[in-house]
Amino acid sequence: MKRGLVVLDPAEIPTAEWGERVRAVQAELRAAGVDVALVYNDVSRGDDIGYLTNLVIYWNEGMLAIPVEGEATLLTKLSKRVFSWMQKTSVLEDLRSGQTLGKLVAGYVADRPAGTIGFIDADLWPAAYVEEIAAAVPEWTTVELGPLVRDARKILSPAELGVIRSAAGVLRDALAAADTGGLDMRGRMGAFESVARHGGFTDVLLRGTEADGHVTIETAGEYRQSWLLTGRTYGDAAFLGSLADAQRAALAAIAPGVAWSKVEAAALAALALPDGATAVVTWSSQADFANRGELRPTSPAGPAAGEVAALQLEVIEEGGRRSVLTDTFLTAAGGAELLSA
Amino acid sequence: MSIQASAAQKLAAPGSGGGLLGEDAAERALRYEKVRAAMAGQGLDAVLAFAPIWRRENLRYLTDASVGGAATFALLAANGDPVAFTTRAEDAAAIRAAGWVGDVRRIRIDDTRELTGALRDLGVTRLGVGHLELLPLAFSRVIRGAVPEVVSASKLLDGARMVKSAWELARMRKAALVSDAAWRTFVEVLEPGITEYDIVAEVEADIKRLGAEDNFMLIASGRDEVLGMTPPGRRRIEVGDMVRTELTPQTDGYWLQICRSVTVGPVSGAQQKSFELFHEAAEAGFAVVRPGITAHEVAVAENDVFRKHGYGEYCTSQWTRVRGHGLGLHLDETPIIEGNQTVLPEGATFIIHPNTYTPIAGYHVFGDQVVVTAAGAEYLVSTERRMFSSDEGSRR
Repeated sequence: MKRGLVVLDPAEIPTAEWGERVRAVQAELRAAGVDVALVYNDVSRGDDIGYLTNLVIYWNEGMLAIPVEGEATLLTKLSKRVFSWMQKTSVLEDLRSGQTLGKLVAGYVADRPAGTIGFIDADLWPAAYVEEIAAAVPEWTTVELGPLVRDARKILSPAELGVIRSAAGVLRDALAAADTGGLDMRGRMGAFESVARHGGFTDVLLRGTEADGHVTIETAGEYRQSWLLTGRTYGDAAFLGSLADAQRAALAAIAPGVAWSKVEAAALAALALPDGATAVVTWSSQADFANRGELRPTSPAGPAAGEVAALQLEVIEEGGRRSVLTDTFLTAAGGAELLSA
Repeated sequence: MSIQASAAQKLAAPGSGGGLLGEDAAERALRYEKVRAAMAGQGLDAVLAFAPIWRRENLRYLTDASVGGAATFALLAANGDPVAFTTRAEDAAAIRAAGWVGDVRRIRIDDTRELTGALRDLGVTRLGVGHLELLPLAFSRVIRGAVPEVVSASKLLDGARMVKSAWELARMRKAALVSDAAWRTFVEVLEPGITEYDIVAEVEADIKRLGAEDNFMLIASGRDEVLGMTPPGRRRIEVGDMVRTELTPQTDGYWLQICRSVTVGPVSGAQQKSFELFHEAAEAGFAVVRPGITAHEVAVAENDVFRKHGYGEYCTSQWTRVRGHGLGLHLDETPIIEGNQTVLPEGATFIIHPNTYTPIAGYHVFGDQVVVTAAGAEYLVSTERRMFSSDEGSRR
């Protein structure tokens, strides 16, 4: 459930850019011979629809229909009562409500000649909805498409980069508030929430663990349509200081197209691990932050030029105690630029 | 230790849950017994509870663990200990720490061998999947490839969760204290000039300090032009506004909702008249609750008050969604609407909220979560059921 600020601000993302994003998808559809593409999002991963329209799927589910020519249309089971809010906070003009996704799609294509419907990011679509929609439009051919929109979201535009830099400033203040001495885990979480949400974050996902003064807090924060990840472990374990050394070494090794094994090796060489501990060095793209990259197959490659990503250093001690240092960075031509610290 | 495994003794119970202390062990046994009985009735060899990030109630029911990963599963067969599968490493630790499920295995969207292998090892031929309707194609393909017959177990698990045990109600009563505190914060921070999203920020910070895991919250501010509830915007609160909220912190797994409206400055005559209508409707819904009543009958009791006063048209889907709904480990269970013949037995928990628009003072929200007892309904939150005003006190 999104409950922070939701706003459409043309001073942040120029109005023309929204149309350009849809047209880029339409070019891919044309090349693939697809007449209408469907994007399915739910409240836990609403970023594709957000990227194309600024609409926030704040609750439940939504589906965006993108014709190969023309404007995108929202198809939703939500009531028409929320349409005025959706139109106010997005670039959408055509919104349609119905009882089932199958009927909505059938109604949407009713005045179009039968052709091909593509399911974007098909692997993540609920199988039941794919079957329901295919059954509702039997005269249409259906095809499964890859993560076209997720991939498009990897490289930020100059305007998006401006937005994420604003968000990073708020995030740094939130982390500083959470790092105040004397706070327990809940106190740190409350301090982080307060600064982030007053600063305009739409969503803040917090996970925390605490045992004998060893506190780990991991955050995923959504600001407009951008995400930032952080992770911090607070405590007096001697090796925690070396996490920062390892992070510096990893960031120094990052360059566009770098093999991730090189970054991993640089980080591990700088890490002073306690006996019996293991360490893992991973990265995920900003395009996948809502689910920390768990819904994308692993790749041996590092981030590309212009990609915003998170670097996570994770240490598991022999007894299972976990420590992390996670930050979000931009992969620039000259190397990694830390955004969240 | 996971924040949800706050009882230190749970760490003494790795593995099958056999080391859980008395009440926790009994609750675990009760749940598995209920689910297994329902499985037997439907000819299922096993139930696989799938939890995407936004629908984790079944996973919680079977593991008592709070997870955050993109995809988590709990597998309960007719015999033996349950097994969990997760895409997130730290969720594995959280599930084990909760103490109910000791065997937790990692999966990835492109590597589900642990899950399909377990299904094959158990010899499952007819599998019920909780939230099958939301199961992504990538997982659906491999599960259907491993099991001859896959059916939905969503209703089976909804049914198992509907009646709350004494163990659950004890947790819900504690969670209700956070909801009460959240409402106090909401009123205390309200003053002319504050933005909607700054109100939410104050509430969120406070409930996180009190241990809330999550929150569902809608807000609307303004006068009689307000038609419904949304996430917050940049609008600044003005004198004369009525600020409405549905506040639903999740604490220790359970969602406890409170619906109230508060005026900025003195309560106007129209706002008071509106409150009295909604209060009467909520009280009417509360009064009819008894074990075995249907969701339909509760809705009729609420709507009859609107009809009696000439506002019946505002009980339709043009103006409102539901007259309440079930809450527990999920925040939007069976709807309280006319036509829903779902029976609400003793131990069912739901909110009675006749929230809707009327021309009296615009959209109004008012309602409280109750549990069905042998004697009728019992409120779970203790916040006063009255119209509030920001004049009552401010922390700012």
